[in-house]
Amino acid sequence: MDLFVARVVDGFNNGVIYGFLALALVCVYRGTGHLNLAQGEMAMFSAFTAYAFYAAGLPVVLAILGACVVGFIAGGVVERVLIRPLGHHADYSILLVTIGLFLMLNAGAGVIWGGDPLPFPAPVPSTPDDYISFLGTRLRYQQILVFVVLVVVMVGLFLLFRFTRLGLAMRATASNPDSARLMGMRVNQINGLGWMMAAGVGALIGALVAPSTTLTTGMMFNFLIYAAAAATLGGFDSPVGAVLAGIVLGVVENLVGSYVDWVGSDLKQAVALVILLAVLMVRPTGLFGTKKVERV
Amino acid sequence: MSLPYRIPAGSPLDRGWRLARVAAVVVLVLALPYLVATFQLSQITSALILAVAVVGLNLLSGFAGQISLGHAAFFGIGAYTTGVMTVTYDYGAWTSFVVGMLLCFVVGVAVGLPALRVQGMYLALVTLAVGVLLPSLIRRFDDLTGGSSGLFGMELAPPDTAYFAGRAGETVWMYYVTVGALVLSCLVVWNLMNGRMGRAVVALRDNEAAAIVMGVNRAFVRTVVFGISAAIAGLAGSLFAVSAGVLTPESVSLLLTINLLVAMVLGGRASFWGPVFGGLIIYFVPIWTSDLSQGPISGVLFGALVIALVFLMPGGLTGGLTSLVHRVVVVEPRPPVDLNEDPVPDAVPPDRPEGPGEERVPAGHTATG
Repeated sequence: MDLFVARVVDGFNNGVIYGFLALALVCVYRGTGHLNLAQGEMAMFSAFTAYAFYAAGLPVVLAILGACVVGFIAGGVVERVLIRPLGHHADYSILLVTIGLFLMLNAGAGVIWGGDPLPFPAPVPSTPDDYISFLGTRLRYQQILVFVVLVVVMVGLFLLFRFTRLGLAMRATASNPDSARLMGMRVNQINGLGWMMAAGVGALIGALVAPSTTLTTGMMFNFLIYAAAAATLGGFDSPVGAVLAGIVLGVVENLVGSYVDWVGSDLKQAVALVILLAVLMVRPTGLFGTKKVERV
Repeated sequence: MSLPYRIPAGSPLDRGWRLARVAAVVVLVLALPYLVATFQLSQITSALILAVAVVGLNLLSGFAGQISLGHAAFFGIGAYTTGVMTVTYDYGAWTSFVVGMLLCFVVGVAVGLPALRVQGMYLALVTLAVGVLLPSLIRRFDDLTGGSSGLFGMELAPPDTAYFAGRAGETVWMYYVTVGALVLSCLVVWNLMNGRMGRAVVALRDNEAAAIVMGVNRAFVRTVVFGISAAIAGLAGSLFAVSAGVLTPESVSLLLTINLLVAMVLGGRASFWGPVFGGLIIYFVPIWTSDLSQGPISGVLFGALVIALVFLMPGGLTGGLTSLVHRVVVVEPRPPVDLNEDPVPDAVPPDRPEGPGEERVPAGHTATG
């Protein structure tokens, strides 16, 4: 029983990371309707930025917040300089630019900070004794912190999208940019804001996850695949759905990986992807996504 | 004489210009083995193998407009089919090529079926899932595939002639086989796109609802295109297996898919020459950037180059070259011949007033306007 709980908790903690990164993907999608393949690398780069602030002598919390601000601004700059000039309907060009960005950030972090993993300090006490016992397993402060921040960000985004004028404008631009522009919405600024929010959220994830994964240039790559799966399952336009799907993916993947011998650790990732395929067969727009009605 | 020089379509000059281009390509292909060193020839072969895979991807993502983030999986299925069949079970390499392509076609159709329900980014994610699944399957079934330690010893024995003898001869043989495969796959795509099927494919891409109303069988067209695209990528994989002689799960990872996509868009999406240029770019540019500078900086340069090319050449290299050539030579379509028109055009005054039935614009004006 203890082992079972421990495995659920392990999976849950991974799932929280998937869901968190999925939130960032959702922010971009709500703006421009595109998948940002460089999202994970942007988060990774921000985590290194936080490390640079910390190494320069700032306290950890300030370093993380600083990285978030830098990420927020950088996200806006990327959107303004690299994405907006391509226009709304340039799917391939945008996909390619995000791939280029992915390559540049990944290699760039290696150039600036070297290829070796760096230790990143946690903002909460994280010696081996800092945990809460829960049903015979250990919940580390660090993990609780990530979860709490995730819930806060998720609820914040949900309220923003659902109940504010800005959120309504964001939904309108995502579903039909041309009509939204005709209705007087500043589509470009709203898209830019989506990228800025995504990059800010990404910076937060990067810095919060770094203490457990250690800081390396490859730290986010696998998470991105899971996050894309989570965002798909949750429906790309639903923050709550994305987080729930991320957590479910993490738990199911870990349980299947541990209890089904045939799957083992090699096919753990495959479990998440098979779930993704199965759900898309039944519901092509994800579990919580709204179906896009097309007028001819 | 002012540039661009205009050639009417169908004139002897136009035919000569086309013939000259074909002849130039044929001469270049035949002369290459004599012009470059053996090592460079094997590099060119590797680039052309990528080009074959890009031809497959271009059919699906370029012409049919369905983004695939999983083409490395089909490449990998072809490669591992050849690897397992020739090394473990001692079948001939040619047999394994055919089996690999058939297998890829079947898997492609199977992946194409969900593609009927999901579109755009969701389809991209379905294919991404397939692309990420394959390397983990290869690692899981390591008794068959060699797992992470790899699969060794694939080769394509050249025919027993003096021309292909020895180490250098084998390289030349592999080069010709690859060129043959490239020409074959280009012809398949060319024929497909210039027929009824091709018009259906383009119609579905540009306006799905309208195409279905006009009687296009969407399920059939989409799945068959997916299957053929996968089979071509699988052929490239088989060629890769015998030319490299070693296969690892890393060689068919997501990185390969990314490279193929970059190659397709940089070469020129939905064009026939694009995949060839794209394959050469994606193989040689990383080599040059790593010659320029050591270590991770070459990665930064490559990424920056990808972004720069998106902005500088939106139509890819093919688009860029075409507009360059059009500054010098333009082939103009011949004015359509109207059978109802007065047989003696000179008898018509050039500035007669417009009347009913006169709204036809002379073709020369539309071509320049």
